[in-house]
Amino acid sequence: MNLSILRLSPLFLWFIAAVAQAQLHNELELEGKLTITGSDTLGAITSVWAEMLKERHPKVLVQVRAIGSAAAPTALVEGTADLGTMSRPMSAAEDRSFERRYGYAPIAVPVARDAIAVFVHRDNPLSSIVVPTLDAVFSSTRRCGHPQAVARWSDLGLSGPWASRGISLYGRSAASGTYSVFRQQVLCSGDFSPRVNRLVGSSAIIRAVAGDRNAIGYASAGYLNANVKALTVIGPGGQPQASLDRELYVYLNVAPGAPVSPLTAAFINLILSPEGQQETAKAGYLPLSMAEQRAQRRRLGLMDG
Amino acid sequence: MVSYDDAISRRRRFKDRAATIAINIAGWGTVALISLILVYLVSVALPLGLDAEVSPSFTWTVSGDEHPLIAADGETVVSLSAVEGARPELARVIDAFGVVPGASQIHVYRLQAESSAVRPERLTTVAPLVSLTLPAFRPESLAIDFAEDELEMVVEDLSGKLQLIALNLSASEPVISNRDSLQLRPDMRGGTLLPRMAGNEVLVVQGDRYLRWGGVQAAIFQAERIVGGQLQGVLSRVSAAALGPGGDSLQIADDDGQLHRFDLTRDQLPRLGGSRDLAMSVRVLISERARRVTGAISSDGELLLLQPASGDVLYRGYPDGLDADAQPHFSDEGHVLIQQGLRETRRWAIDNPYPETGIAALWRPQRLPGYDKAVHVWHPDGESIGVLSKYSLSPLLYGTFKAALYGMLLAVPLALGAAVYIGYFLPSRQRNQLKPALETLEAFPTVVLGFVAGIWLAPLLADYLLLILFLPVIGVGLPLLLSLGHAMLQHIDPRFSRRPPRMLLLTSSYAAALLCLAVFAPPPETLDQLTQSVLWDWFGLRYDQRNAVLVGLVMGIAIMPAMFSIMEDAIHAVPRSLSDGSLALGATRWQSLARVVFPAASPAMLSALLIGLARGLGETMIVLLATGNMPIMEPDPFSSLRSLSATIAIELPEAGSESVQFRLLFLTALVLFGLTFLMNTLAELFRQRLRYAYAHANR
Repeated sequence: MNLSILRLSPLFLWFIAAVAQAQLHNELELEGKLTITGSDTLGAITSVWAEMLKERHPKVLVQVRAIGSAAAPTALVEGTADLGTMSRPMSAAEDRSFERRYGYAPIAVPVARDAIAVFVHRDNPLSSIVVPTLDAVFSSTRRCGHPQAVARWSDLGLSGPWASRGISLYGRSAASGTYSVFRQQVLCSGDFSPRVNRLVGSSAIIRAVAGDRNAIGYASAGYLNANVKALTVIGPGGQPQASLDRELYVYLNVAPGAPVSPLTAAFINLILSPEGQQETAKAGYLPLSMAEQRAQRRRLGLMDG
Repeated sequence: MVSYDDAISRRRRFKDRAATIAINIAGWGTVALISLILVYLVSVALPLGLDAEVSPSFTWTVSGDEHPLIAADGETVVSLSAVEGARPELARVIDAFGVVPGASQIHVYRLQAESSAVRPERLTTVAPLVSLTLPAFRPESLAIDFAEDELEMVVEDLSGKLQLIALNLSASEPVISNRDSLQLRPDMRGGTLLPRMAGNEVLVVQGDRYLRWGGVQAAIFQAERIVGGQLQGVLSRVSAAALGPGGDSLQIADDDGQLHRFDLTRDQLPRLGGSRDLAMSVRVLISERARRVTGAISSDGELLLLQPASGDVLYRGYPDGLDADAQPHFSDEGHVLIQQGLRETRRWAIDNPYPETGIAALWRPQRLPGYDKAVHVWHPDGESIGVLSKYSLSPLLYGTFKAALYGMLLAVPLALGAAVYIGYFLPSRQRNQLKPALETLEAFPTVVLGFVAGIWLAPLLADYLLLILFLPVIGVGLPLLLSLGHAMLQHIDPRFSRRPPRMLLLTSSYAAALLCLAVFAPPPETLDQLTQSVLWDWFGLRYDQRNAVLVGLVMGIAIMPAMFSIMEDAIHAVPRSLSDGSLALGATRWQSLARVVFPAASPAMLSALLIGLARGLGETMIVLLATGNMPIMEPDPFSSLRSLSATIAIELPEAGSESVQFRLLFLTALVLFGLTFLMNTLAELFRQRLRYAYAHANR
């Protein structure tokens, strides 16, 4: 009898130690699951941020679903996501549906800046395009005022073998914020031509444009690579169109007066930290300035983090 | 005593009964499941077809110094504090702002309060946010528009000048962001003012003349840009003018009750189609901002709600107390009709959740602003940025049939050839090996076929299409030409061999063709460009990389096995005695096949065609992956398409539940269900006829 207790005691001690250690960790570490739904433009960088969070807090489970910005408000309203990432601000209707459900407005945290770029195949001699012409290329309504429809590269002034080539169009699917911003800024809120190949994800567009000599497409500038060529988009004043830059947001569901949940706070703190913004810059976005980072953290009451 | 036999028979009877019940349950269960799916589809899609209803909800009587005003959300109600000389009955409401004219002042209110239309007993009184002083003006000329925190107000002053003031309301203190004026010509005075921030312009309509101030579709308001002209085709006196839904069109009603529409996104203000007879004398025209709904109100209080582009009538009736003189208007979301009167303020609830899905809107071409002709447009995703959606199902149905028919073009000859060969010519031992082999093709996942078509075949076809099209010309044309040459030689000199040297002709012609290709073939990187220019310059065809021919090629392979299986069964099932008889009477094999076997098997052949078509109509993955999913209506072989099933696959994840798009996708599912159900039922009927015919033939 005695013997057997003696034999078991190291095991028992080990068990005690394990429990104690676990409890010690509990105080320093966060646990739980963070679900992030929304923008595909932000998808890659969100995953990077999630990895960083997991490194700091190994017991945290982060699930990132990058479908498109339109998915974020729905997920927040239905409570299936803790955070919503969007590559455009919420529309009035989306805002309203959130308010109707919770009684207060969601909080938008700008986390990076991004530009929409227009790409062509690398062999394409075109180097710049004005907004009304770009509108005529991508839309069927030509609201920005281009006089006639554009169907072939010769309509854009290209000659030689390019003259007889048709233009094939590539764009994002309707759930994407890039799609909405492009529609407002370049199509003057008109309709996309039915001939636009709607692809899911910016990288799919870059791939398609790289593989199709007749292609023109728009996507997040962060995905630019050597297989495609970015066009300079010239606005009304003869200057490069600035409004194709937009802010990217993380939306939070925080009741007024209530603190941000620790897990969410840790994540936002990470994004708005110099390390987080360094990753943002590495991924091809324009990071926030230090002052902006600090201002956002102060706004959310996260200064201690 | 129970005998052994009794026990056995009882057990047998029990088993029999149990089996009967089980089979019945399974059978009826299947029927129930299918009906359940149908019922579900119908229940989701049905609300799309419901008419609108208008019912009175609240009336506030104006007493003393209190004047209730309903915000544009249709819910918030406040009481305006009395201001000297103000005319609250002429208030204009937009978003959360109310603008009240006085003789020479404009008062801007922010309409935010605790009280709502549901609990109207405690109205909060609000004071003006800001009061602006202008030259004395006609108060009833006041018109406003609001976009992105900017409130634009226009009035016509007593000297016939347009006075424009824009306020920026984003900060706590309103800031005047634009102030301008324009002297009107005498013949334009007293018209309807229509500020339109979407186009950065102010529109004035007086009689059948119009004036556009600020430029058309300009990026900013340009005061020096003024365009004027005459509205075309308005034959009698104009009785009402208003912006159409979304502010992209101008709508005019004349004394004959005709509604005319004009496209504001174009400089020359072109007409949008012919006029539409509203069958009433219109006093007021109103439109929703976010949905394609127009309301017409007559002087005797009749209200007509319609979708102006398609002409679908949503509601016609006399809501209690409606008065055209009080300028009723819609709330932002179109669920409330508001009327601010001198003595009372009224509110009606409009139950009109799906105004844009009438029969005409879904299936017929419409004249829409920004389009130069009547079009079918499927563009269902505007809500998130405040653009009107377009819901035409025609291009989707068209694309479905186009894909299926191009698939049939390949599948029918293949299936028929294989069925005849295996069912009629092949000895039964080989038939037993070959038939199952072909039928296993049926189990091949279509997603793989679609993937292969989209990724590998599409660029290949784009490059080599011209060569492929050129092959028959070489293969048939050259030998033909040489044969002709030989015949001519023979005619000239009868000594020339009477038999044409076939081998020589063939080899020499193909050698010549190869030589041609080697000499004239363009470098591979320009092949696609050559294809496109030949198609465009010679035939006027556009070439989309993922097109109907590509889909046809792959879909043909996918639907062939099913058709082959039925056709082969039918041909094989024709009693051998029939064809043997015809052979014995001296018919050739072709004759007995064409005149005896085919007629006997024809019902099943037809059934196979229908099954194949149904399979093609319902096919999803191939169409999704091998076409560019472009909702266009072109019969061209090299243009893209989008099918009903692919649309469901693409858009269901994006559509919010309960949204119009969501319900429409269920309607497309219902249409698809109906089509395949019809095809399969017809096919089955034909097949049964065949069985009946054989039963009689064998007797």
